[in-house]
Amino acid sequence: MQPFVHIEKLSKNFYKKTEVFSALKDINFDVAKGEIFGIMGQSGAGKSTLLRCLSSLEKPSSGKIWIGSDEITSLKDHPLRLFRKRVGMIFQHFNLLASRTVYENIAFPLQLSDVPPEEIKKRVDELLYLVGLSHKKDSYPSRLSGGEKQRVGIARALALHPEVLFCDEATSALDPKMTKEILQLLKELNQTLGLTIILITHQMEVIKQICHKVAVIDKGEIVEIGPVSDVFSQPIHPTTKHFLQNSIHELPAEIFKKHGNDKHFLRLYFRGTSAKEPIITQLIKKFDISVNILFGWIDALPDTTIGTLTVELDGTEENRKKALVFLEESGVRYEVIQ
Amino acid sequence: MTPENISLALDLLPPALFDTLYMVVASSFFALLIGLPLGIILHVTAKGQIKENTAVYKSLGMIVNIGRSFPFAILMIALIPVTRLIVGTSLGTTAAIVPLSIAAAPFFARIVEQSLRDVDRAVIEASQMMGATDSQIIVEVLLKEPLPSLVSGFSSMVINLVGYSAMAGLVGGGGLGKVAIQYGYNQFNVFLMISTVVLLILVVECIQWISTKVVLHMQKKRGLISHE
Repeated sequence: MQPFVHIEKLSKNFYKKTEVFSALKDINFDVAKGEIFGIMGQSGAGKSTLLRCLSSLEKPSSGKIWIGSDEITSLKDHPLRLFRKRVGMIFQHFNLLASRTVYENIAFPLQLSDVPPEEIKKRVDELLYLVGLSHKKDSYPSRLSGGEKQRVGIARALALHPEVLFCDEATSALDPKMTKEILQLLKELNQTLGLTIILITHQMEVIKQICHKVAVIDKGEIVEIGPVSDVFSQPIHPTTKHFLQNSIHELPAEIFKKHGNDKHFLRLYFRGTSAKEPIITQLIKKFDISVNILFGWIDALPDTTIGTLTVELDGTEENRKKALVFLEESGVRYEVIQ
Repeated sequence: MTPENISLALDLLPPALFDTLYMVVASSFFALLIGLPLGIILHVTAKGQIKENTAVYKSLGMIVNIGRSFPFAILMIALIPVTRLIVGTSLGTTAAIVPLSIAAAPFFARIVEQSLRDVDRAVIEASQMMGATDSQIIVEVLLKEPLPSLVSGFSSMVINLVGYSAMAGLVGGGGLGKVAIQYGYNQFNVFLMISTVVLLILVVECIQWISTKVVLHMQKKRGLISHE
């Protein structure tokens, strides 16, 4: 199947007097229609620049971006405005107009496109119902909670039936409860409307809860990309590991410092069925070693289960080596903690 | 305070007040007409804005600065030929409107520029993402979002014009300023002098009161301050 979004050799440099800063280096990836695609990275990694390029707010230095049938990096003026009307965007700080009510904010993109008033009314009422804000239609944004503001932002972004929705840290300014609600809404929209969603975030929760695929970006490069369950169950790049550890409140590093000759620490990664098998019991039975469980974490993604277990192995060197071989044979990925 | 003084005041002050209001209203109108587009152009051509154009911004900025740095009395005299060309005479109430408008326009242009600059760049980008054209952004976003601050800036300009219009009395303009100079200053009529000043204060108070009401109403409507 033809990918809906196709990005090829995208790069972006910023020039400051004589210095060149490359914010994006050779970015390539595809997003399928109906997919929720997450771009994750720390601040300054380049994810904002990437989303700004995808949404046409920033011109890339080189490379191509296809969205639907348009190659958007070459669009200007009228064709560019037409493209922008086919996509929706929501923002971290909502960017609503303070001079307009909820109703008028949602009507704004329709007015800009000269939609007849009776159709505007019909569509806005529909959208208000969709995001659950019919009772607030005459309120001004300053009277709304963050979650409500983002709902208005979503309704506004959907007004012109976009093919893709860009989310720029859409939940970063919200509390956990509102974040959950907004993510739930986005998921529903994806399922009911088949809406393709491309989002950037530094919150791993967001990726875990709604994304099908994730790209981890670091220093302007995509360092890891794939289905969320693959990337999070077998993280390779330090940035991804860092995110995982932050999100599960991993043990402080000092604990691992008391290394002896007869033990070492392991972090085991589980995924899907292997997360449910009694690996630890088998280790203890088969190899005469003791396994001291220090920390465990398991998480349900939309399509699978992933988890990690941090353990201390205690036993003879030979037995420990055998144990590691057994783990490998059982398909459990592990990492020795230094 | 003698009876003669009072009857003189009753004869002179009402038409003078009317002349002052006429000058202020007319020149505010023309200053708005010139200053608003000037302010918009200044804003959109500034660095990082939607129609960034350094050459236009710098040259227009220079003209505005020159206009603002002229002392009003000098500007009035310098503009006599222009006033003659437009009004046919450089004397009288109507003639004063020309220099008053030209003095106030650059001031208002800067006020407009400042108000528009307060509109969050991200809100403009959000509008661009909805496919808004530049003119739609100017009308729907840049002018409507900071409306309260535009209104209070406009009233500052009107109040300035009340002061300027009194000064216009020095050089053949009409209104309360003329009464203050002719009767109050030249003929040492303290009563008339004080009366004109009090009237001018009342005019300024009125303008301020209306402006505050309008701005508060807009802010309340937007939920920016709570309803009592």
